[in-house]
Amino acid sequence: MPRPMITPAPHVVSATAPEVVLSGRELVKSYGSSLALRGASVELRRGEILAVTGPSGSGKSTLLLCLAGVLRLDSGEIRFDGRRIDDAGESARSALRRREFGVLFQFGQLVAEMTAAENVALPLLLGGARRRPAQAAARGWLARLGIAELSDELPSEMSGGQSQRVAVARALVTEPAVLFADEPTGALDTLAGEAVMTELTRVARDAGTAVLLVTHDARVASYGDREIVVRDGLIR
Amino acid sequence: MSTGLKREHDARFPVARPLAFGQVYATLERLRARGLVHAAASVKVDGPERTPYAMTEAGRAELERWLTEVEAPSPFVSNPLSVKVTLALLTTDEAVAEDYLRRQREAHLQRMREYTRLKVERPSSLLEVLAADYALTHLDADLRWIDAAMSRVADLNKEIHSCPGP
Amino acid sequence: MRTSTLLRLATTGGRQDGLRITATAVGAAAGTVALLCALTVATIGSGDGPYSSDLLDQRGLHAGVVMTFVLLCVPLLTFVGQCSRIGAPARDRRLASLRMAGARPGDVTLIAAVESGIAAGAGAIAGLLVYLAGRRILDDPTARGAEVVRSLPTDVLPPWWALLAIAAGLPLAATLFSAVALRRVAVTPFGVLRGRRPAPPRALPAVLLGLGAGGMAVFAAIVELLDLDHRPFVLGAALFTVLFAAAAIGLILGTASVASVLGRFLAPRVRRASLLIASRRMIALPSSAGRTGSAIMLAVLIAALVEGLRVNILLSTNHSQEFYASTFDLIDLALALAIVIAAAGLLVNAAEGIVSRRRTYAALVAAGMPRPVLARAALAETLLPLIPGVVLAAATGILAARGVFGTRVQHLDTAIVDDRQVNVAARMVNVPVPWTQLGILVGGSLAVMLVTTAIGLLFLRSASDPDELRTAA
Repeated sequence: MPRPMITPAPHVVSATAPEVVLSGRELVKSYGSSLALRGASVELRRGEILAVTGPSGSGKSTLLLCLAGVLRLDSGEIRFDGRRIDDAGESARSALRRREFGVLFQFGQLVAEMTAAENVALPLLLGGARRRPAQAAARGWLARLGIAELSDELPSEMSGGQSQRVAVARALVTEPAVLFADEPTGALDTLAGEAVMTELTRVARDAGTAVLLVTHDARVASYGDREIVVRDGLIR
Repeated sequence: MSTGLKREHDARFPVARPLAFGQVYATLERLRARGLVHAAASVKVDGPERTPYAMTEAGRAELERWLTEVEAPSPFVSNPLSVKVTLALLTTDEAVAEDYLRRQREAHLQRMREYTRLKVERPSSLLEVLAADYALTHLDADLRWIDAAMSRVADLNKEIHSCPGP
Repeated sequence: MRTSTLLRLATTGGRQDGLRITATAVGAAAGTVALLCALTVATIGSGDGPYSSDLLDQRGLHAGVVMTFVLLCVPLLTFVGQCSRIGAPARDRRLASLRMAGARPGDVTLIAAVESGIAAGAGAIAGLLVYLAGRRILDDPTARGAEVVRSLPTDVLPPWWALLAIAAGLPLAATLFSAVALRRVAVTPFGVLRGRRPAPPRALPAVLLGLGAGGMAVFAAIVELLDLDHRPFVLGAALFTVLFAAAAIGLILGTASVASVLGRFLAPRVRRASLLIASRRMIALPSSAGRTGSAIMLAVLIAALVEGLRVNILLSTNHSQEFYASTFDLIDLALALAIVIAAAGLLVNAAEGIVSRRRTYAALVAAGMPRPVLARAALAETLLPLIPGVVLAAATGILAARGVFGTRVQHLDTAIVDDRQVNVAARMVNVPVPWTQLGILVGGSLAVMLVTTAIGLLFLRSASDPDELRTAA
């Protein structure tokens, strides 16, 4: 067998069993007459990056949206930090998404008329922070993601990779326990996507934020510590 | 025998790199030395003598073991991987094949994680990044091919099972 | 494009398209009825009547009644024009394949305008039928002495060619209004253009308003200056019209400037997320406020003018007090109707603003933004720029009334002598500013605007549905 060109260091996973920060059991969700999730179960450990892969239509995005509390389950249980959250009301789940969760999509999540710093500061303002400290924190996060110079630019004045990094900053500004990322590099080319994933994983690991990363691309999945495959609404 | 085997291999596994003549003979000799194949009686059929080889009991057991053993992921076109996946999908039980493919995917992904980590930790070493990119692209290609193959076989099985019996 | 293709493309569609077509048809039907009523009144001849209402009985007042009906059509047609924008994004997507095949941007506008025209045509026919039926149903001849009196001119039928002209002309006008309403939208894609910052507010509208309002406020002085009392009446009327038009245009154009200025003032200062989003949007897209507010402001301007006139007239003449009072009440009713119709345009604007941003809304809600915050932002974005305009329109109207008709009038005191009202003395009195009426006008307009915008916000829940997030599962 031919030798590899370079020898990468082996990837070692921590030996101690880390605690579970988010878990879903027997999740069932249907859209109209079709079943998107048929009793899938998943566990996300504190600080880990979990890749959720599978063919399109398999239900992985639905799984993400259910775990984040955006969609209501038909049946099943979701626990965050041990507490049940699937039976909470709309405003409670909205507050959870604002404070404890961060959410990142392919596109369309920034307010086009606001600057990058204002977009990132938005969750803090919603939480009642004063304007100046919120703006300062926002600029800090933009700097951490390497795009401090874009703080006063509008999203339409940046490249796709840059605006995605603004979205990452916005998702992480409240220092959430879990970051949900649904195909974050789907609309980007390889190098832009690589920049986003590199910064995302680095900042998330530094902050101890767990990441649930939905993707159909194995190369993006390889940024994770672990992978689960969703097929036909079940975890295989 | 060598030519016959080579012809069979190249015809049935067009995905794999074609076998070299000397390679077949040398491999057969090694297998015979390990007691996995034995030479049957020589047969003379329209031309040069042909020595057919046959698997021993030990050989059959070794084949089954090999079929379910994960192949070390490599960025280069791997004959063993392409042959193994094809055989697993076409000859073994669906559950066995799926289990093997799941473990093969995990092995590939684990190797990809290592290359990705290397890129993240040493982004300024262009040589290493380029090499890692190459490896990642080809490992990804392996995975895509495996996924597509699985889907095709699954579709085919569904078709077969939905058809009325003979 | 072939006519058959044009017709086919103009009439296919889904639920939003059905809403658009219905709203257009209803608006057109109302406009047709209004115009036919005007035509009827204009056709009243010396042999017709008598009628129980002085407005209809006295020939001299017909012109006013006709004009009121015709003016009502302005906000109606504006509303019909706005309707063409309901569901525009969905229609554009539907027609996108046509654009891909090489159609010009004008073709899409043509299709949309034709669709409006067809819907308006159906509405016009419906309006005509309603009018004809109404004539029969509302005919109430009652005997009064030797005469037969009616409350409505249901005995008058305008010539058939006139009826036809209106039923055909209104859809044409509706098509035109739709094309104009769409033209701006087609030329300026919704949202901030890549890399281009919005232009700063211009000063021209303020100048126009200042000149127009100021001119009307000191109209009496201008009349003296130019000795207009001894010139043909037309000159004075023309001058007034020019000043009025300047003020009106200044108000309408100024809304965009107000939005821009207000946005720039608020954005660095507000802390609440809803106001921050609203102020940023006002800076980015100031012209959207102007598009819808214009009809309302025109109506408020005219209404304030009428209020000033009313106080003036009621003080200066004594006979037929009830007549004038009831006339003004009717005019008030017509103006209130105009304001409500104009406010309906706000509904379209608010709904359109939400629907065109639905992917962002869905993503924001999924990320934890509470829907009430988004609702408040949409409300503020639509309403805040219009509030100064409405107040200014009312102020301009009353200033104009006082400037043109004077602040002192001759009042006739009356006393009852021998069971008859007799004029006793005449004196000059100051005309008060009708604060109550003005307050009701401004407050009522703002309330109506608030209600219609809030109705438009009903689209928010469906717009931010997680289904909008699904590109592929």
